[in-house]
Amino acid sequence: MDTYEDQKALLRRHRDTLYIAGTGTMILGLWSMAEGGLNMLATSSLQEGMSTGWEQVISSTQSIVAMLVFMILLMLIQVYVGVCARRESRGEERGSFYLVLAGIFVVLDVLFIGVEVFLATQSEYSVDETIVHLTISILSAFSDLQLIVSCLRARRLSAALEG
Amino acid sequence: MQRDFHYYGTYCAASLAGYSHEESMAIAYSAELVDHCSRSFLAALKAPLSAATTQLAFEMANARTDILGLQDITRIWASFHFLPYDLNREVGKGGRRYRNKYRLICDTNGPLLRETVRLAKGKGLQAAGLAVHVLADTWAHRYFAGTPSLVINNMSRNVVELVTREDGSIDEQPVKFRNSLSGDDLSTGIFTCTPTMNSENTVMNLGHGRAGHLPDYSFARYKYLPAWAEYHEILKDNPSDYYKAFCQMVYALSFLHGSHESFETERYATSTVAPWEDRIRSFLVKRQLDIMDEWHALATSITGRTLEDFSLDKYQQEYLCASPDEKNDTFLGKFILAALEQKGMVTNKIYSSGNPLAGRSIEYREGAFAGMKDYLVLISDAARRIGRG
Repeated sequence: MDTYEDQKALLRRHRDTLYIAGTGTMILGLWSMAEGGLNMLATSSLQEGMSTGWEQVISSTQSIVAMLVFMILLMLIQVYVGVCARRESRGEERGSFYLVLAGIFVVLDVLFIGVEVFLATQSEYSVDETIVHLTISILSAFSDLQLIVSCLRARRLSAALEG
Repeated sequence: MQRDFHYYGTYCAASLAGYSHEESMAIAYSAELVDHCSRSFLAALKAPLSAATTQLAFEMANARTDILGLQDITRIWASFHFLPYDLNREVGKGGRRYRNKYRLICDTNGPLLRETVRLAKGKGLQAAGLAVHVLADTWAHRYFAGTPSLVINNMSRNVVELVTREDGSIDEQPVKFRNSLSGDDLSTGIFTCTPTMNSENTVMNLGHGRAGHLPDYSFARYKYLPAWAEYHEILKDNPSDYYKAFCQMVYALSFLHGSHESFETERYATSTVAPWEDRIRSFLVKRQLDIMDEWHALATSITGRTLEDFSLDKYQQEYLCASPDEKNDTFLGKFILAALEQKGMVTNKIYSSGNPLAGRSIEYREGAFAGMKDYLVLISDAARRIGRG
Protein backbone atom coordinates (compact mmCIF):
# COMPACT_ATOMS: atom_id res chain seq x y z
CA MET A 1 0.00 0.00 0.00
CA ASP A 2 1.29 3.49 -0.85
CA THR A 3 2.42 5.51 2.09
CA TYR A 4 1.41 9.09 2.77
CA GLU A 5 4.73 10.28 1.34
CA ASP A 6 4.24 8.19 -1.79
CA GLN A 7 0.83 9.77 -2.32
CA LYS A 8 2.24 13.26 -1.86
CA ALA A 9 4.93 12.42 -4.41
CA LEU A 10 2.26 11.21 -6.83
CA LEU A 11 0.31 14.43 -6.31
CA ARG A 12 3.42 16.46 -7.12
CA ARG A 13 3.90 14.36 -10.27
CA HIS A 14 0.33 14.98 -11.45
CA ARG A 15 0.61 18.70 -10.75
CA ASP A 16 3.89 18.83 -12.63
CA THR A 17 2.26 17.07 -15.59
CA LEU A 18 -0.65 19.51 -15.38
CA TYR A 19 1.78 22.44 -15.49
CA ILE A 20 3.57 21.03 -18.53
CA ALA A 21 0.31 20.20 -20.32
CA GLY A 22 -1.00 23.69 -19.61
CA THR A 23 2.16 25.24 -20.99
CA GLY A 24 1.87 23.00 -24.05
CA THR A 25 -1.72 24.07 -24.65
CA MET A 26 -0.73 27.74 -24.48
CA ILE A 27 2.16 27.29 -26.88
CA LEU A 28 0.09 25.25 -29.33
CA GLY A 29 -2.61 27.93 -29.20
CA LEU A 30 -0.07 30.60 -30.10
CA TRP A 31 1.32 28.34 -32.79
CA SER A 32 -2.09 27.77 -34.34
CA MET A 33 -2.63 31.50 -34.44
CA ALA A 34 0.72 32.11 -36.08
CA GLU A 35 0.25 29.28 -38.56
CA GLY A 36 -3.26 30.37 -39.50
CA GLY A 37 -2.16 33.95 -39.95
CA LEU A 38 0.78 33.03 -42.15
CA ASN A 39 -1.40 30.67 -44.17
CA MET A 40 -3.88 33.44 -44.77
CA LEU A 41 -1.21 35.86 -45.90
CA ALA A 42 0.27 33.30 -48.25
CA THR A 43 -2.99 32.21 -49.87
CA SER A 44 -4.99 35.35 -49.38
CA SER A 45 -8.08 35.84 -51.52
CA LEU A 46 -7.40 39.53 -51.01
CA GLN A 47 -4.70 39.22 -53.58
CA GLU A 48 -7.17 37.68 -55.97
CA GLY A 49 -9.73 40.37 -55.20
CA MET A 50 -7.25 43.16 -55.98
CA SER A 51 -7.04 41.99 -59.52
CA THR A 52 -10.80 41.83 -60.06
CA GLY A 53 -12.22 45.01 -58.49
CA TRP A 54 -12.97 46.95 -55.30
CA GLU A 55 -16.15 44.99 -54.47
CA GLN A 56 -14.12 41.80 -54.40
CA VAL A 57 -11.47 43.52 -52.25
CA ILE A 58 -14.03 44.60 -49.66
CA SER A 59 -15.63 41.15 -49.58
CA SER A 60 -12.24 39.44 -49.22
CA THR A 61 -11.20 41.87 -46.47
CA GLN A 62 -14.37 41.12 -44.53
CA SER A 63 -13.79 37.38 -44.69
CA ILE A 64 -10.16 37.81 -43.66
CA VAL A 65 -11.09 39.95 -40.68
CA ALA A 66 -13.74 37.41 -39.66
CA MET A 67 -11.23 34.60 -39.85
CA LEU A 68 -8.67 36.61 -37.90
CA VAL A 69 -11.17 37.34 -35.15
CA PHE A 70 -12.10 33.67 -34.98
CA MET A 71 -8.47 32.59 -34.81
CA ILE A 72 -7.64 35.13 -32.09
CA LEU A 73 -10.64 33.95 -30.11
CA LEU A 74 -9.54 30.33 -30.36
CA MET A 75 -6.03 31.28 -29.33
CA LEU A 76 -7.25 33.26 -26.34
CA ILE A 77 -9.38 30.33 -25.22
CA GLN A 78 -6.41 27.98 -25.44
CA VAL A 79 -4.22 30.42 -23.54
CA TYR A 80 -6.95 30.73 -20.91
CA VAL A 81 -7.08 26.93 -20.56
CA GLY A 82 -3.29 26.80 -20.24
CA VAL A 83 -3.15 29.57 -17.65
CA CYS A 84 -5.86 27.92 -15.56
CA ALA A 85 -4.02 24.59 -15.72
CA ARG A 86 -0.76 26.20 -14.60
CA ARG A 87 -2.45 28.00 -11.73
CA GLU A 88 -4.18 24.83 -10.57
CA SER A 89 -0.84 23.01 -10.70
CA ARG A 90 0.43 25.47 -8.08
CA GLY A 91 -2.42 24.59 -5.76
CA GLU A 92 -4.84 27.39 -6.61
CA GLU A 93 -8.46 26.39 -6.84
CA ARG A 94 -9.92 26.78 -10.30
CA GLY A 95 -13.35 25.79 -11.54
CA SER A 96 -14.07 23.10 -14.07
CA PHE A 97 -15.01 25.38 -16.95
CA TYR A 98 -11.52 25.27 -18.42
CA LEU A 99 -11.64 21.47 -18.32
CA VAL A 100 -14.83 21.54 -20.38
CA LEU A 101 -13.12 23.82 -22.90
CA ALA A 102 -10.12 21.47 -22.98
CA GLY A 103 -12.51 18.59 -23.67
CA ILE A 104 -14.05 20.50 -26.56
CA PHE A 105 -10.60 21.09 -27.99
CA VAL A 106 -9.87 17.38 -27.78
CA VAL A 107 -13.00 16.65 -29.80
CA LEU A 108 -12.15 19.37 -32.32
CA ASP A 109 -8.60 18.05 -32.68
CA VAL A 110 -9.84 14.52 -33.29
CA LEU A 111 -12.29 15.82 -35.91
CA PHE A 112 -9.53 17.84 -37.51
CA ILE A 113 -7.30 14.76 -37.64
CA GLY A 114 -10.07 12.91 -39.44
CA VAL A 115 -10.51 15.75 -41.93
CA GLU A 116 -6.77 15.92 -42.55
CA VAL A 117 -6.56 12.19 -43.19
CA PHE A 118 -9.47 12.41 -45.62
CA LEU A 119 -8.03 15.41 -47.46
CA ALA A 120 -4.64 13.70 -47.62
CA THR A 121 -6.17 11.11 -49.88
CA GLN A 122 -6.96 13.86 -52.37
CA SER A 123 -4.24 13.98 -54.99
CA GLU A 124 -3.72 17.77 -55.00
CA TYR A 125 -2.99 17.90 -51.27
CA SER A 126 0.63 18.41 -50.15
CA VAL A 127 2.01 15.47 -48.16
CA ASP A 128 4.49 17.61 -46.21
CA GLU A 129 1.81 20.00 -45.06
CA THR A 130 -0.47 17.14 -44.09
CA ILE A 131 2.20 15.51 -41.95
CA VAL A 132 2.87 18.78 -40.13
CA HIS A 133 -0.81 19.49 -39.54
CA LEU A 134 -1.43 15.95 -38.35
CA THR A 135 1.53 16.07 -35.97
CA ILE A 136 0.38 19.32 -34.44
CA SER A 137 -3.20 18.10 -34.13
CA ILE A 138 -2.15 14.86 -32.47
CA LEU A 139 0.13 16.74 -30.08
CA SER A 140 -2.62 19.20 -29.28
CA ALA A 141 -5.16 16.45 -28.62
CA PHE A 142 -2.68 14.57 -26.44
CA SER A 143 -1.77 17.69 -24.51
CA ASP A 144 -5.39 18.59 -23.81
CA LEU A 145 -6.25 15.02 -22.85
CA GLN A 146 -3.28 14.82 -20.51
CA LEU A 147 -4.30 18.14 -19.00
CA ILE A 148 -7.78 16.81 -18.18
CA VAL A 149 -6.52 13.47 -16.83
CA SER A 150 -3.76 14.92 -14.66
CA CYS A 151 -6.10 17.60 -13.31
CA LEU A 152 -8.74 15.07 -12.29
CA ARG A 153 -6.14 12.76 -10.74
CA ALA A 154 -4.55 15.63 -8.84
CA ARG A 155 -7.90 16.76 -7.50
CA ARG A 156 -8.82 13.27 -6.37
CA LEU A 157 -5.48 12.74 -4.65
CA SER A 158 -5.56 16.15 -3.04
CA ALA A 159 -9.02 15.47 -1.62
CA ALA A 160 -7.88 12.07 -0.34
CA LEU A 161 -4.82 13.56 1.38
CA GLU A 162 -6.82 16.32 3.01
CA GLY A 163 -9.48 13.88 4.09
CA MET B 1 31.83 21.53 3.35
CA GLN B 2 34.00 24.60 3.69
CA ARG B 3 37.29 25.48 5.31
CA ASP B 4 35.64 26.15 8.67
CA PHE B 5 34.76 22.47 9.01
CA HIS B 6 37.51 20.80 6.97
CA TYR B 7 40.37 22.68 8.62
CA TYR B 8 39.31 23.94 12.02
CA GLY B 9 36.65 21.30 12.62
CA THR B 10 39.07 18.51 11.69
CA TYR B 11 41.67 19.93 14.06
CA CYS B 12 39.10 19.83 16.87
CA ALA B 13 38.11 16.26 15.97
CA ALA B 14 41.74 15.10 15.86
CA SER B 15 42.48 16.70 19.21
CA LEU B 16 39.46 15.02 20.78
CA ALA B 17 40.56 11.71 19.25
CA GLY B 18 43.86 11.93 21.10
CA TYR B 19 46.28 13.44 18.62
CA SER B 20 48.79 16.06 19.73
CA HIS B 21 48.63 19.66 18.55
CA GLU B 22 51.24 19.13 15.83
CA GLU B 23 49.61 15.92 14.65
CA SER B 24 46.18 17.54 14.63
CA MET B 25 47.57 20.43 12.58
CA ALA B 26 48.96 17.98 10.03
CA ILE B 27 45.66 16.11 9.83
CA ALA B 28 43.67 19.33 9.51
CA TYR B 29 46.03 20.65 6.85
CA SER B 30 45.67 17.45 4.83
CA ALA B 31 41.90 17.53 5.16
CA GLU B 32 41.76 21.06 3.81
CA LEU B 33 44.35 20.33 1.12
CA VAL B 34 41.90 17.93 -0.55
CA ASP B 35 39.96 21.02 -1.70
CA HIS B 36 43.08 22.61 -3.21
CA CYS B 37 45.17 19.81 -4.68
CA SER B 38 44.33 20.40 -8.32
CA ARG B 39 46.29 19.51 -11.44
CA SER B 40 47.56 23.09 -11.59
CA PHE B 41 48.86 22.81 -8.03
CA LEU B 42 50.56 19.48 -8.79
CA ALA B 43 51.96 20.67 -12.10
CA ALA B 44 53.71 23.54 -10.34
CA LEU B 45 55.34 20.99 -8.06
CA LYS B 46 56.11 18.60 -10.90
CA ALA B 47 54.16 16.03 -8.92
CA PRO B 48 52.02 13.20 -10.37
CA LEU B 49 48.95 14.80 -11.91
CA SER B 50 46.89 11.68 -11.27
CA ALA B 51 46.91 12.56 -7.57
CA ALA B 52 44.60 15.52 -8.15
CA THR B 53 41.84 15.56 -5.56
CA THR B 54 39.88 18.45 -6.97
CA GLN B 55 39.36 20.55 -10.07
CA LEU B 56 39.43 24.33 -9.93
CA ALA B 57 36.80 26.43 -11.63
CA PHE B 58 38.92 27.23 -14.69
CA GLU B 59 39.93 23.56 -14.96
CA MET B 60 36.25 22.63 -14.93
CA ALA B 61 35.56 25.23 -17.61
CA ASN B 62 38.25 23.57 -19.74
CA ALA B 63 37.27 20.00 -18.92
CA ARG B 64 36.29 17.70 -21.75
CA THR B 65 32.92 16.02 -21.49
CA ASP B 66 33.53 13.20 -23.93
CA ILE B 67 33.68 9.72 -22.43
CA LEU B 68 37.29 10.00 -21.29
CA GLY B 69 36.75 13.47 -19.87
CA LEU B 70 33.69 12.35 -17.95
CA GLN B 71 35.58 9.39 -16.52
CA ASP B 72 38.36 11.70 -15.40
CA ILE B 73 35.89 14.06 -13.71
CA THR B 74 34.08 11.17 -12.03
CA ARG B 75 37.31 9.63 -10.73
CA ILE B 76 38.19 12.82 -8.89
CA TRP B 77 34.83 13.88 -7.55
CA ALA B 78 33.47 10.45 -6.65
CA SER B 79 36.71 9.50 -4.88
CA PHE B 80 37.12 12.56 -2.69
CA HIS B 81 33.92 14.58 -2.46
CA PHE B 82 30.91 12.43 -3.37
CA LEU B 83 31.75 8.95 -2.16
CA PRO B 84 29.14 6.57 -3.62
CA TYR B 85 26.88 4.90 -1.11
CA ASP B 86 25.88 1.64 -2.76
CA LEU B 87 27.45 0.55 -6.03
CA ASN B 88 24.95 -2.28 -6.42
CA ARG B 89 21.77 -0.42 -5.55
CA GLU B 90 18.67 -1.44 -7.48
CA VAL B 91 16.95 1.41 -9.26
CA GLY B 92 13.72 -0.12 -10.46
CA LYS B 93 13.52 1.98 -13.59
CA GLY B 94 15.59 3.34 -16.46
CA GLY B 95 18.27 1.73 -18.57
CA ARG B 96 21.86 0.83 -17.85
CA ARG B 97 23.19 4.37 -18.28
CA TYR B 98 20.75 5.75 -15.74
CA ARG B 99 21.45 2.90 -13.34
CA ASN B 100 25.21 3.50 -13.49
CA LYS B 101 24.77 7.14 -12.57
CA TYR B 102 22.18 6.41 -9.90
CA ARG B 103 24.63 4.08 -8.20
CA LEU B 104 27.13 6.90 -7.78
CA ILE B 105 24.81 8.90 -5.51
CA CYS B 106 26.64 9.86 -2.34
CA ASP B 107 25.29 9.08 1.09
CA THR B 108 26.59 8.45 4.59
CA ASN B 109 27.74 5.23 6.18
CA GLY B 110 28.22 3.24 3.00
CA PRO B 111 30.63 0.33 2.52
CA LEU B 112 33.06 2.58 0.66
CA LEU B 113 33.36 4.81 3.70
CA ARG B 114 34.50 1.85 5.75
CA GLU B 115 37.07 1.03 3.06
CA THR B 116 38.24 4.65 2.97
CA VAL B 117 38.92 4.87 6.68
CA ARG B 118 40.49 1.42 6.89
CA LEU B 119 42.72 2.26 3.92
CA ALA B 120 44.16 5.16 5.90
CA LYS B 121 45.12 2.99 8.87
CA GLY B 122 48.88 2.98 9.42
CA LYS B 123 49.47 5.28 6.46
CA GLY B 124 50.26 8.49 8.34
CA LEU B 125 48.64 11.74 9.25
CA GLN B 126 48.10 12.87 5.68
CA ALA B 127 46.08 9.77 4.86
CA ALA B 128 44.05 10.32 8.02
CA GLY B 129 43.28 13.89 7.04
CA LEU B 130 42.29 12.85 3.55
CA ALA B 131 40.03 10.10 4.87
CA VAL B 132 38.12 12.39 7.25
CA HIS B 133 37.66 14.94 4.48
CA VAL B 134 35.95 12.23 2.43
CA LEU B 135 33.94 11.20 5.50
CA ALA B 136 32.78 14.75 6.22
CA ASP B 137 31.74 15.32 2.62
CA THR B 138 29.50 12.24 2.65
CA TRP B 139 27.32 14.16 5.14
CA ALA B 140 27.33 17.52 3.38
CA HIS B 141 27.05 16.21 -0.17
CA ARG B 142 24.64 13.34 0.37
CA TYR B 143 22.02 12.83 -2.34
CA PHE B 144 24.28 14.19 -5.09
CA ALA B 145 26.58 12.25 -7.41
CA GLY B 146 30.19 13.00 -8.31
CA THR B 147 29.54 12.71 -12.02
CA PRO B 148 27.99 15.27 -14.37
CA SER B 149 24.36 14.24 -14.75
CA LEU B 150 21.21 16.27 -15.26
CA VAL B 151 18.89 13.38 -14.43
CA ILE B 152 20.60 12.77 -11.08
CA ASN B 153 21.93 16.10 -9.84
CA ASN B 154 19.23 18.46 -11.05
CA MET B 155 16.57 19.63 -8.64
CA SER B 156 13.33 21.54 -8.80
CA ARG B 157 13.49 25.27 -8.28
CA ASN B 158 10.92 24.99 -5.48
CA VAL B 159 13.44 24.83 -2.65
CA VAL B 160 12.14 25.88 0.73
CA GLU B 161 14.43 26.86 3.57
CA LEU B 162 13.31 26.19 7.13
CA VAL B 163 14.32 29.23 9.13
CA THR B 164 13.97 29.16 12.89
CA ARG B 165 12.69 32.43 14.31
CA GLU B 166 13.76 33.89 17.63
CA ASP B 167 10.59 32.61 19.29
CA GLY B 168 11.44 29.09 18.17
CA SER B 169 8.83 28.86 15.42
CA ILE B 170 9.87 27.61 12.00
CA ASP B 171 9.26 29.69 8.93
CA GLU B 172 9.29 28.23 5.44
CA GLN B 173 11.04 30.63 3.10
CA PRO B 174 11.35 29.98 -0.63
CA VAL B 175 14.97 29.94 -1.73
CA LYS B 176 15.75 32.10 -4.71
CA PHE B 177 18.58 31.04 -6.97
CA ARG B 178 20.54 33.16 -9.38
CA ASN B 179 23.36 32.39 -11.77
CA SER B 180 25.61 35.38 -11.20
CA LEU B 181 29.06 35.35 -9.62
CA SER B 182 28.05 37.82 -6.90
CA GLY B 183 27.92 35.20 -4.18
CA ASP B 184 25.17 34.33 -1.74
CA ASP B 185 23.10 36.95 0.05
CA LEU B 186 21.79 35.48 3.29
CA SER B 187 19.76 38.53 4.22
CA THR B 188 17.54 38.23 1.14
CA GLY B 189 17.75 34.45 0.82
CA ILE B 190 19.28 34.59 -2.65
CA PHE B 191 21.81 31.87 -3.44
CA THR B 192 24.05 31.36 -6.43
CA CYS B 193 23.91 28.13 -8.36
CA THR B 194 25.01 26.80 -11.73
CA PRO B 195 22.73 27.70 -14.65
CA THR B 196 20.14 25.31 -16.03
CA MET B 197 21.59 23.39 -18.96
CA ASN B 198 19.57 20.70 -20.67
CA SER B 199 22.65 18.77 -21.71
CA GLU B 200 22.96 15.63 -19.58
CA ASN B 201 26.75 15.64 -19.20
CA THR B 202 27.62 19.30 -18.84
CA VAL B 203 29.86 20.12 -15.88
CA MET B 204 27.14 22.50 -14.67
CA ASN B 205 25.33 19.35 -13.56
CA LEU B 206 28.22 18.00 -11.51
CA GLY B 207 27.69 17.32 -7.83
CA HIS B 208 25.67 19.93 -5.95
CA GLY B 209 26.25 22.72 -8.46
CA ARG B 210 22.51 23.08 -9.03
CA ALA B 211 22.03 23.67 -5.32
CA GLY B 212 24.88 26.13 -5.10
CA HIS B 213 26.55 26.30 -1.70
CA LEU B 214 23.46 25.36 0.28
CA PRO B 215 24.78 21.87 1.17
CA ASP B 216 27.99 23.46 2.48
CA TYR B 217 26.36 25.84 4.95
CA SER B 218 26.10 24.32 8.39
CA PHE B 219 23.03 26.40 9.29
CA ALA B 220 20.95 25.40 6.25
CA ARG B 221 17.82 23.31 6.71
CA TYR B 222 15.83 22.97 3.53
CA LYS B 223 13.41 20.81 1.57
CA TYR B 224 13.76 20.14 -2.13
CA LEU B 225 12.94 17.67 -4.90
CA PRO B 226 16.03 15.99 -6.40
CA ALA B 227 15.67 14.77 -9.96
CA TRP B 228 16.35 11.14 -8.99
CA ALA B 229 13.82 10.99 -6.15
CA GLU B 230 10.64 10.56 -8.22
CA TYR B 231 8.94 13.63 -6.73
CA HIS B 232 9.74 12.57 -3.16
CA GLU B 233 10.81 15.48 -1.02
CA ILE B 234 14.15 15.41 0.76
CA LEU B 235 14.70 17.25 4.02
CA LYS B 236 18.32 18.26 4.42
CA ASP B 237 19.09 19.13 8.02
CA ASN B 238 22.65 20.42 7.93
CA PRO B 239 23.02 21.34 11.63
CA SER B 240 22.10 17.79 12.62
CA ASP B 241 24.14 16.20 9.83
CA TYR B 242 27.20 18.30 10.55
CA TYR B 243 27.14 17.39 14.21
CA LYS B 244 26.92 13.69 13.35
CA ALA B 245 29.73 14.17 10.84
CA PHE B 246 31.89 15.68 13.57
CA CYS B 247 31.15 12.84 15.99
CA GLN B 248 31.90 10.29 13.30
CA MET B 249 35.17 12.06 12.46
CA VAL B 250 36.23 11.79 16.09
CA TYR B 251 35.37 8.09 16.05
CA ALA B 252 37.26 7.52 12.78
CA LEU B 253 40.31 9.42 14.00
CA SER B 254 40.24 7.48 17.27
CA PHE B 255 40.40 4.29 15.21
CA LEU B 256 43.27 5.65 13.13
CA HIS B 257 45.03 6.76 16.30
CA GLY B 258 44.79 3.22 17.63
CA SER B 259 42.24 3.81 20.37
CA HIS B 260 40.09 0.93 19.13
CA GLU B 261 40.46 -2.05 16.89
CA SER B 262 37.96 -1.52 14.13
CA PHE B 263 36.02 1.11 12.26
CA GLU B 264 32.38 0.40 11.59
CA THR B 265 29.74 2.57 10.02
CA GLU B 266 26.83 4.03 12.02
CA ARG B 267 29.12 4.62 15.01
CA TYR B 268 29.73 8.02 16.54
CA ALA B 269 31.92 9.28 19.37
CA THR B 270 29.04 11.13 20.97
CA SER B 271 30.28 10.61 24.52
CA THR B 272 33.71 12.07 23.66
CA VAL B 273 32.10 15.12 22.05
CA ALA B 274 29.36 15.48 24.69
CA PRO B 275 31.15 18.12 26.82
CA TRP B 276 31.29 20.39 23.77
CA GLU B 277 27.91 19.46 22.28
CA ASP B 278 25.93 22.55 23.28
CA ARG B 279 28.63 24.88 22.11
CA ILE B 280 29.05 23.10 18.75
CA ARG B 281 25.31 22.93 18.09
CA SER B 282 24.96 26.61 18.94
CA PHE B 283 27.39 27.79 16.27
CA LEU B 284 26.37 25.21 13.67
CA VAL B 285 22.99 26.97 13.44
CA LYS B 286 24.47 30.44 13.10
CA ARG B 287 23.25 31.98 9.86
CA GLN B 288 26.66 33.07 8.53
CA LEU B 289 28.64 32.39 5.38
CA ASP B 290 31.26 30.66 7.50
CA ILE B 291 31.95 29.90 11.16
CA MET B 292 35.76 29.77 11.11
CA ASP B 293 36.09 31.99 14.17
CA GLU B 294 33.76 29.79 16.20
CA TRP B 295 35.58 26.58 15.29
CA HIS B 296 38.90 28.29 15.95
CA ALA B 297 37.75 29.41 19.39
CA LEU B 298 36.59 25.85 20.12
CA ALA B 299 39.96 24.48 19.04
CA THR B 300 41.72 26.87 21.40
CA SER B 301 39.39 25.84 24.21
CA ILE B 302 40.12 22.14 23.63
CA THR B 303 43.90 22.32 23.32
CA GLY B 304 44.86 25.74 24.67
CA ARG B 305 46.79 26.32 21.46
CA THR B 306 46.25 28.74 18.59
CA LEU B 307 46.00 27.42 15.07
CA GLU B 308 47.87 29.01 12.24
CA ASP B 309 45.77 29.87 9.22
CA PHE B 310 45.77 27.49 6.33
CA SER B 311 48.48 28.34 3.80
CA LEU B 312 48.62 26.43 0.54
CA ASP B 313 52.34 26.94 0.02
CA LYS B 314 53.36 25.79 3.50
CA TYR B 315 54.96 22.50 2.42
CA GLN B 316 55.72 23.23 -1.21
CA GLN B 317 59.36 24.16 -0.72
CA GLU B 318 60.05 20.94 1.14
CA TYR B 319 58.66 18.92 -1.76
CA LEU B 320 60.42 20.93 -4.44
CA CYS B 321 63.81 20.72 -2.74
CA ALA B 322 63.64 17.00 -1.97
CA SER B 323 65.54 14.57 -4.18
CA PRO B 324 63.44 12.17 -6.28
CA ASP B 325 64.10 9.36 -3.78
CA GLU B 326 63.02 11.49 -0.85
CA LYS B 327 59.91 13.10 -2.30
CA ASN B 328 57.58 10.36 -1.00
CA ASP B 329 58.78 11.05 2.54
CA THR B 330 57.89 14.75 2.46
CA PHE B 331 54.57 16.02 3.73
CA LEU B 332 53.11 16.57 0.27
CA GLY B 333 54.67 13.32 -0.95
CA LYS B 334 52.75 11.38 1.69
CA PHE B 335 49.58 13.25 0.85
CA ILE B 336 50.04 12.42 -2.83
CA LEU B 337 50.47 8.73 -2.04
CA ALA B 338 47.32 8.80 0.08
CA ALA B 339 45.41 10.49 -2.72
CA LEU B 340 46.58 7.93 -5.28
CA GLU B 341 45.56 5.09 -2.97
CA GLN B 342 42.12 6.53 -2.31
CA LYS B 343 41.45 7.30 -5.95
CA GLY B 344 42.72 3.88 -7.00
CA MET B 345 40.54 2.12 -4.42
CA VAL B 346 37.34 3.95 -5.31
CA THR B 347 37.93 3.68 -9.07
CA ASN B 348 38.59 -0.02 -8.67
CA LYS B 349 35.41 -0.55 -6.67
CA ILE B 350 33.32 1.34 -9.21
CA TYR B 351 34.88 -0.53 -12.13
CA SER B 352 34.55 -3.91 -10.40
CA SER B 353 30.85 -3.31 -9.88
CA GLY B 354 30.43 -3.16 -13.66
CA ASN B 355 30.10 0.60 -13.80
CA PRO B 356 32.26 2.22 -16.50
CA LEU B 357 31.72 5.82 -15.39
CA ALA B 358 35.06 6.08 -13.58
CA GLY B 359 36.97 4.32 -16.33
CA ARG B 360 39.04 1.16 -16.29
CA SER B 361 40.93 0.00 -13.27
CA ILE B 362 43.95 -2.31 -13.42
CA GLU B 363 45.49 -4.23 -10.56
CA TYR B 364 49.22 -3.62 -10.93
CA ARG B 365 49.91 -6.15 -8.22
CA GLU B 366 48.48 -8.86 -10.47
CA GLY B 367 51.18 -8.36 -13.04
CA ALA B 368 49.43 -5.94 -15.37
CA PHE B 369 51.71 -3.76 -17.42
CA ALA B 370 49.21 -1.25 -18.77
CA GLY B 371 47.68 1.73 -17.01
CA MET B 372 48.74 5.04 -15.49
CA LYS B 373 52.39 5.00 -14.48
CA ASP B 374 51.65 7.43 -11.63
CA TYR B 375 50.12 4.51 -9.73
CA LEU B 376 53.24 2.35 -9.95
CA VAL B 377 54.61 4.35 -7.03
CA LEU B 378 52.00 2.67 -4.83
CA ILE B 379 53.64 -0.73 -5.55
CA SER B 380 57.08 0.47 -4.55
CA ASP B 381 55.68 2.26 -1.51
CA ALA B 382 53.86 -0.89 -0.40
CA ALA B 383 57.08 -2.90 -0.84
CA ARG B 384 58.95 -0.31 1.20
CA ARG B 385 56.40 -0.58 4.03
CA ILE B 386 56.71 -4.35 4.03
CA GLY B 387 60.48 -4.02 4.14
CA ARG B 388 60.29 -1.68 7.11
CA GLY B 389 57.68 -3.76 8.89
